[in-house]
Amino acid sequence: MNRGRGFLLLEITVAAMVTCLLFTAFYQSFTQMLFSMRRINSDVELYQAAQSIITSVESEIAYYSREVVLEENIYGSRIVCHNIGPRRSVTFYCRTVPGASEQKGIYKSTKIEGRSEGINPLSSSDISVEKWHCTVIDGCTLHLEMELKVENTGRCKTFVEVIHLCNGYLM
Amino acid sequence: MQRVPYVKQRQGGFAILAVLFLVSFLAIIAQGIIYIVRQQATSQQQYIRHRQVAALGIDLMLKTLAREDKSEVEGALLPEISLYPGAEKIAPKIIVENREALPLRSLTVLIEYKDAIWQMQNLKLGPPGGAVHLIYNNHISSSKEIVGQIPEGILAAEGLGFNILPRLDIQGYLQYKSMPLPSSTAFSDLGLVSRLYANNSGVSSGSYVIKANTKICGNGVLYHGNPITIEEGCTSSGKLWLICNDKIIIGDNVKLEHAFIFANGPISIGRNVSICGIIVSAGVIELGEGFAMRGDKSVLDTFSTSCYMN
Repeated sequence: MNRGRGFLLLEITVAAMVTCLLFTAFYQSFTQMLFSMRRINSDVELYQAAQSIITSVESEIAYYSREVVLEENIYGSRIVCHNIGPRRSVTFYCRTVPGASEQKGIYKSTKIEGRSEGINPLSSSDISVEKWHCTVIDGCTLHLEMELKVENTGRCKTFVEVIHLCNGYLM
Repeated sequence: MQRVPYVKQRQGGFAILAVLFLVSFLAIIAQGIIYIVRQQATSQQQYIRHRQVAALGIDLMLKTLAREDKSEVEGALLPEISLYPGAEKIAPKIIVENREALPLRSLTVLIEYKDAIWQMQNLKLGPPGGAVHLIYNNHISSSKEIVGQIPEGILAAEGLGFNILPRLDIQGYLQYKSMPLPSSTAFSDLGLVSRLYANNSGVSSGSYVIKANTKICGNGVLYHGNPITIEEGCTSSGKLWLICNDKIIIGDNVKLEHAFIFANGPISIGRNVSICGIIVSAGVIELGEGFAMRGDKSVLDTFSTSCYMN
């Protein structure tokens, strides 16, 4: 009986040791996995943010604008879209996020006959916009380049889109 | 004494259990990562494919419209194209429909792909009967009579009879409309967005009223089966076609800059109204005091709608 009890204690000790050994052996892989997971999450966040921004900008420029004006400021390009419905204009621009000294975001400002109808952020609070630049390719095509960064992880990606205007032209 | 064999049986079990725990833990994490990656990859692939379809469709529409300026376009089924990633095959279609009775040309670019259809349309409309119809040689035409003072320099024709007036293709307007008639909110928020707006006649739709002092901005073709009323003080600056299968009532002090007004019934115009364009009525046209008009046949030029998604 004593032998049997001794074995039981030994078994637990061995099991604990084996677990520790295995955990140590796999520690590198384990941390690597966690790191990969965090990176993938950041990438997912970046792609989602980029898709959301591009979808919003593209639908406004491609389908609803009769005239698009590009302006430059210290944060990058300001895209002013004059709608086919002549009362409405929408501006996409980059600026510092309120309450954050370094972080920048993309905003969509809607005006009806010069009266502001609201400003909506297009990027989430976790994402910082490092670059926001638009160039004219031809009279009805523009090239949009933006660089987004996840604030927590520092993960950064550049997204490039070419947008055609169906109903208007670029100034 | 009975526990010894039991304990002996479990010798080594703890080590295996520990390994199993660890392996299970790592496997769950790996599964989680694989799941997230696959989800993201699928969503990204869909997005990339959609972007390719949209870019292709817009390009086809713009190129077809540009070609149309030189020659007449025809419908076509284009060769299959492979989308990346996934090698999904798509065959874009260009559909051209002509409706002489309206008259109208509808151009549609249609791309069917996995579980979705991308479709963009553009319409070109002419005035009923076509711009060269002899009724448009005049600035004001009535099949019955014109009551009131006709402004100087305006070419007017009355008592033309019903047979000379072009027929309205009511079904055509309703079939190809891209939007219902705009509400007062739509007028104040956006204006007209170069589309064909139409409502059917019938008890539910009733009379269409543009409220007093509305500023009608932008271009649009407005068709209504029932009466149209433009209340006092309304102004319009864009190209406006008002086509009505009933009567049209225009209130006092209305100013329409670039208007084509066609009614299958009478047209009543209030005091101090100013219209630049063409007026045609199958009924009596009543002109109020101080009516000012400038004949402008350019309003009969083909109306091209914006390219819009269907």
